[in-house]
Amino acid sequence: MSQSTSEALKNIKNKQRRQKVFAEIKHEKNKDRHTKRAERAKAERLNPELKEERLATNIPETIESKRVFDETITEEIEGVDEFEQYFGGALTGEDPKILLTTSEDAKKAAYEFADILMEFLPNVTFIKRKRNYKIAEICQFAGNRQYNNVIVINEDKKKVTGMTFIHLPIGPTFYFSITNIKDAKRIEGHGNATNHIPELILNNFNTRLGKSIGRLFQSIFPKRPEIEGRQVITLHNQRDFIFFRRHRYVFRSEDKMGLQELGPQFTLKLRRMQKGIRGDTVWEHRPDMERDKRKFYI
Amino acid sequence: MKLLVSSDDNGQVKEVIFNRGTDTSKKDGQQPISIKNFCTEPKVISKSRLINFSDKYLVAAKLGGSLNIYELPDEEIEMEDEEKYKLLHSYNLEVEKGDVPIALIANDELESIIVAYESSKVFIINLSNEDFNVDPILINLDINKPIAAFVENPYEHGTFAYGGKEVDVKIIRLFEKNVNHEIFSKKDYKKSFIPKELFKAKNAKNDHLDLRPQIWISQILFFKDQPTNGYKFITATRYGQIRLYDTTHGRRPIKDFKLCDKPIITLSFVNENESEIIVTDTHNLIAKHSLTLVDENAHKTISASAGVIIKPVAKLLGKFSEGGNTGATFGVASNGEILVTGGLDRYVRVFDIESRELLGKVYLGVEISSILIVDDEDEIEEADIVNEAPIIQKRKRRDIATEAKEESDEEDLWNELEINEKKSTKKQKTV
Amino acid sequence: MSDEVIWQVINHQFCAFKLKTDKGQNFCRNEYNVSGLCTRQSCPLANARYATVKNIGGKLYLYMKTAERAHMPSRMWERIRLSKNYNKALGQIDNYLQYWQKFLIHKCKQRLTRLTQVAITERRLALRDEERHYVGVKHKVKRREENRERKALAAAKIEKAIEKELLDRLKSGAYGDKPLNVDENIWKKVLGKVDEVEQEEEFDEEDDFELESGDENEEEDESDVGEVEYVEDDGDDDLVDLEDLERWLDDSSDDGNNDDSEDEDDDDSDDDEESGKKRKSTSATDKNKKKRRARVEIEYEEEPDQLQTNIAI
Repeated sequence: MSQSTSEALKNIKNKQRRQKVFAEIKHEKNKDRHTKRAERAKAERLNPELKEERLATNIPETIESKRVFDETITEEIEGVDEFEQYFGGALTGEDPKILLTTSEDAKKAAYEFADILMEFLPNVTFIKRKRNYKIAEICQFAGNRQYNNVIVINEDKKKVTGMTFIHLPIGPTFYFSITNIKDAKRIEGHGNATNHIPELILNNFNTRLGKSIGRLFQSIFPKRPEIEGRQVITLHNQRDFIFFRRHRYVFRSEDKMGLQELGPQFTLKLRRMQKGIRGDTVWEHRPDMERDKRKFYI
Repeated sequence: MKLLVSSDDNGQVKEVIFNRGTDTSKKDGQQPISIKNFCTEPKVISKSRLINFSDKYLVAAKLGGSLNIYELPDEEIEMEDEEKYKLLHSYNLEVEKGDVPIALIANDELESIIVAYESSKVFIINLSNEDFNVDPILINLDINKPIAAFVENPYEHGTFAYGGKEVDVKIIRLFEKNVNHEIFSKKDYKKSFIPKELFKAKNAKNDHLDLRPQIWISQILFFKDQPTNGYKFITATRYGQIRLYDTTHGRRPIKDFKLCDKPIITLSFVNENESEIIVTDTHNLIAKHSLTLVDENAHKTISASAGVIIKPVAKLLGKFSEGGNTGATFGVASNGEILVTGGLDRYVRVFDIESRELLGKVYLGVEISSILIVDDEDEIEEADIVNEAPIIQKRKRRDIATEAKEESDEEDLWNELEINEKKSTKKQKTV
Repeated sequence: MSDEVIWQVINHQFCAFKLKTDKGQNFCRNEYNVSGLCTRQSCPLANARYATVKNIGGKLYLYMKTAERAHMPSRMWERIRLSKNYNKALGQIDNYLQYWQKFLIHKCKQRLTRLTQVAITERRLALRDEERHYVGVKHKVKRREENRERKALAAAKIEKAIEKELLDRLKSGAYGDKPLNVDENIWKKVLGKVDEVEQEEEFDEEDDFELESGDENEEEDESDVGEVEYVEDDGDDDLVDLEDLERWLDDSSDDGNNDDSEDEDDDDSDDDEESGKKRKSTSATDKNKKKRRARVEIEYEEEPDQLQTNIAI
C-alpha cells in the first residue's frame, strides 16, 4: 500500500465509506497485477528466452538458500567411524540383521507401529520387551548374535513418540522423535508393497552429523536392493526434519516417471546422538538451538 | 596460538595454529593459519592422551598399551613438515586390547613418564636414556575394579591418588621421596616401586532415604596449600558431584556439592589461588564454579517422605556456552588466561577464562580427547616482511602440566626479557 | 488462653490451616497435625498436650508438646529421634506416650507406619534404574516444531526429489547394463543418450556422425553449434589434449577392429583410455565395462554405494 492511498484513507472519517474506497483500490491493484501477468505470459510464450531470463534472474530467497554457513558440509570425513566395521567388511558381508523391540510396558500403539516397520525392514526380529532386561543387556545379547542394529520403539501415553537406533557392536546410538505417522491404509491411492528389498534414497544429509545419520540408515537396509521390485524408500532431510516415504516407481520415458506411494509415512527428528551404547553425548537437541530458523544441523 | 590435539578418528595428532578471533563457522571469518596431521605412525584409532615431556618429547598413550614418543620440534629451528614430530620410540605395554589409558603423567625428577590404564595397571617408563632401553616397570594397584582417575600429587614427590567406579579415593606412595632418576642405574631398581597405601577415603553419609551414595570418581586434583601431615584434594564424580577432602579432618569429604545431573568428566583449576574450578560433563556443559562462594539453596530435592531438602552448591560463576558446543568435552587445557576445550563435537574452542568470551573456534573434523597448548601467543603477521626468512617471534613457552609451579617466576622473567627486547628494538629504530 | 477458647475460634470463626470441604469433613494443613483432619482431638493448636511423628531430612522424630511449655513458643516442642527399626520405634512411642490419650498414641503409630511405608516406596523407586528420562516440552516449542515440520514438508517437494534422484541413477547407469526396473524401449533411449553424452565429451570424428545421425534427441542449441564447436576445439586445444588424442587414436588402432561407430568399439577404447578424458561420472565406466560382456549376471561390485545414497562416504 503506497503512502498516498493510506494518507487518503486516513482522511475519510466514515468507516463504511473508507472500507469501500479501500476495496476499490485493492480491486484496481489486483486487476492491474493480473493484466501485467497475462501480458508477460503472452510475451514469454512468443519468446521463451524471456522466461528463462526471468527465472534466472528472479530467484526467490528460501530458508534453504539463506542457511547459516556450516563448514562441516564441505569438509571430508576424516578417519573411520563406528560404521566402518559394517561397511568395511566388504560387500561380501551378510545382510544386516535387526532386532526390534519396544519400550517397557508398551501399549497397543507401539506394537502396531512395530508391525508397520516390520513390513519394510529386512531381516528383522521382533521381541517383546521384558522389564528385567536393560537396553545395554539387550544390545550385548544382540551383538553376540551378529545383529547389526537394535531399534527400540518408544511409546508414551499410548502414542509412539520416538525411536532409538543402536548400531552394534560398539554404537553409536541415535534417538529420533517421531511425528505424523500415517499408515498405508490412510494414504489415498496407495499401492500394495511386494516383498522385494527396496532401494534407498537419502537426500540432503550433508553435515558431519548428517553423514553419520546417512550411514546409520544405510547400515539398516541391505546393500543389494532387488530393483525388479521397483520400490524405493526415501529418507529426505529438510530443515532437520527427516521424512520417511516409500514409493513404487516406473520410468514412463527417459525423463518422465511415475510414483505410487506405498506407505507408511512418518517424520523423524534427531534429538540425541551418543557414542557407544547410550554413552557420551555427541549431539543433543535443545529447544534454544531453533532460535535461529536458518541454522540447521543435518 | 599453537595447539597439539589428539584426533581420535584417525589416531593422529593435529597441530593447529591460529590467532585469536578465528572462527571457521563464519563464512568469511578468520581462518586458522594451519592444521596439519602429524604422528601418523603407528595407527591406533582410539582415545589417546598427550603430554609434553620437558619440552623434549611429545608422548602419546593410546588404546591397548600403545605408547609412542615423538620428537618435539624446537621452535627456534626451521624444519620441514615431514621432519617434525618424528617417531622416536614405540612401547607396547602389556595390557588388554581394549584398555583405555586414563592418565599420562610426566615426572621430571624421575625423568620418567607414568601411564595408568583403566584396568588399574600403572607403568613407569624412564626416558632419561636416548635409546629408550629401560624396561617399563609394571605396578598393579591390586584392586579388581577398573579405575577412572589416577593423578600425581605435584606437591609431594612419589605420592599418587586414584579412584573409579565403586573405588573411593586412595592416596598411595609409589616410591620414596628420595628416589630420583639415578635409581634406574641400579640393578634392583624395580624393588623401590611398591605401592603403599597412605589414605583411604570414606564414603559420604547416607542420603535422606538411608541409601549409600554411589561412588564413581572421575577426576582428582590436589590443592597447592597442603596441610603439613595430610592431604587436601578435590574429586569429581560421574554422579555430578564434587567433593572436597582434607585428610586432617577425617576420611569423609568435608564438603559435598552436587553441581549437575550429568556425569562430570573433567575438572581443572582456573587460577593460581585455586579458588575456582572448571567442570565439563558428558553433555554440553562447560561451567566455572567457585570453591569459596556457596549458593546456600541451589540444590533442591523433593522427597515424598522427607519433604523438600535444600542443599548448598558451590556457586556457579558462569557457563562457557558461546560457540554452541553440542557434545561431551574431554580435552581441556588452560594456562590461567585462556581455556581450550575440545570433545565429541569435533571443534576446538578457545575461551577467555575471566570473561568467558569465545576467542577462537576451529573445526577439526575429528573427535578430540586431549589438548596440549604449545604456544598461547598469536602469530605475528609475516606477510609484510619481504625477502627475508620469516622471523619467529620468541614466545612464552609454557606447559601447564609440568611447569605450573614455576609459572609466576617465569612470567616475571619473561616480562623482563620482553621489556629488554622492546628497548633494543627502540634503539634500533632510532639508529 | 485455654484450649477450649482456641477451638471455639478455630471451629466457628477462622483458622488459617483449615481446608473446608462441602462433604462435612474439614481438613487441616498444619504440618504438626497427626491425622490431617480438622477435629477437636487432632487439632495441634487447640491441644496443649499433643504428639505427632514427623520426617525431617529422612529421619523420623516423635514430637510432643505439653502445657508446661506452652508459654515458650520457641521451645514448645520436644522431639525424640525414633529408631530406624519399625518395631523399636513403635516401642519408643509406647514408652514416651505412656500415660497419654489412647487417641494420640494410636494416631502417632498410624503416622509412623505410613511414613515408613512411603520411605520404602521411595527407596524402591530410587533404586530402580530408570532408562527413560523425561524431558519437558513447552507448548510453544511443540507448536513451533509442528509448524516448521509442516513448512519443511512443503519446501521439500519430496516426490520431485525422488524422481530426480531415480532418473539420475538410471542415466548414470547405476542399475547395471540390463536393468530389470526399466522398460526395454525406454532403456534403449536412455542408452542412446548416455552414449551421446559420453561421446560429446570425447572430441572425436565418429561423434559427429553420431550427433548428426542421432538428431532426434532434441539438444536445442548443440546440434546447431556442433560444427562450430568442432572447428574451434581443434584450434584451441592444448598440446596435452592433442597428445591424449593421439595416444587414444593409437590405442584404438591397436585394438584393430575399425568398425564404424559401433557402440562396442567406443566402449573398448573408453576402457583402454583410463586416464585420458574427464568423465562425467565413474559409474559411466562401470556401465561400459559391463556392456562388453553382454549376458553376464549383474555385477554389483561398486554400485551399492551409489545406489543407496547421494551422500559422500
